[in-house]
Amino acid sequence: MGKTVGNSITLNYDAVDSVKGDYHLNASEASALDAGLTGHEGTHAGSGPSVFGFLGMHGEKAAYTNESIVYQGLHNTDRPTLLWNESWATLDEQTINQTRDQAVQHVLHPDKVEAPIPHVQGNFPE
Amino acid sequence: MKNLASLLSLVLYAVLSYGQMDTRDTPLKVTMCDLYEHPEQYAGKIVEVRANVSGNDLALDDFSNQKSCSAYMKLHLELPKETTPAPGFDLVRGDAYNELREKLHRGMNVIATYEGRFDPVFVWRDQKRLKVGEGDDKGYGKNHRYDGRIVLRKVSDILARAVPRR
Repeated sequence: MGKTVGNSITLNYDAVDSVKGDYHLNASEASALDAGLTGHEGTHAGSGPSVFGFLGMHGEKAAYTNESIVYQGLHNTDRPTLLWNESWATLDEQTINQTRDQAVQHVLHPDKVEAPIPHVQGNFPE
Repeated sequence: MKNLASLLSLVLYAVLSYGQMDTRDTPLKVTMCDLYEHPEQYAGKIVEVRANVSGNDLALDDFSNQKSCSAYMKLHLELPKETTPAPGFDLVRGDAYNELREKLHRGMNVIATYEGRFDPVFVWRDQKRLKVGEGDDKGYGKNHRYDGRIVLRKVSDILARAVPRR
């Protein structure tokens, strides 16, 4: 939905609008998504190309973390990406950070969830 | 007469037993907020709850609305075969459970309805982690990070949508 090269940020609002439609976001949630995405891409701004870019790493952990913090500040539960939940405000600071980190890892590494092995003739996967 | 009394007693016992079994096995339909705010009330009971699930450890959370709850618990799903003591029921494996794992593996935003036994250990209120109920004192899951668990008996009504990529 966004691309950042040097200090130039490009946001794809067709893609953003598609998410707003898919998740039936209300006006408040839609505005929060705009802000969160801007915060995400802003994290990348100014960092410039690096050797990590060739390895497919573009500081995404930091960017998703900042996006989560934007949602926290806006008191917006992030339904599409699950980066912030208003109920997390009941946790202490250390646990909030651990929970946020876990949420970011789930976005970055969904493939760590084991895929089920197709079952044959009633033998279900363990 | 004595035989008739015995027969009536037997019938009465069977009816009462059936009633108890029915009550115990019928899941209580709750929200995640219900579980967070009244964990003692639902401890050890079979509940049915709708929530998001994520990650390899099947973390549960409710992202369905903007209203925050007055309490919170980090919950996750556990499979009966991984649970001690054994829960006395098995997971109903089938298409829904396989679909859940597949959608998670593909990195999708997954919401489903879960039926299982609710085991709370801690609850968060006002930034404090408070002990509730009985069970493992350290919490559940990897590094005991979870305040409670739902021992999964059945999963249904899966809604999976793509997570928007940045």
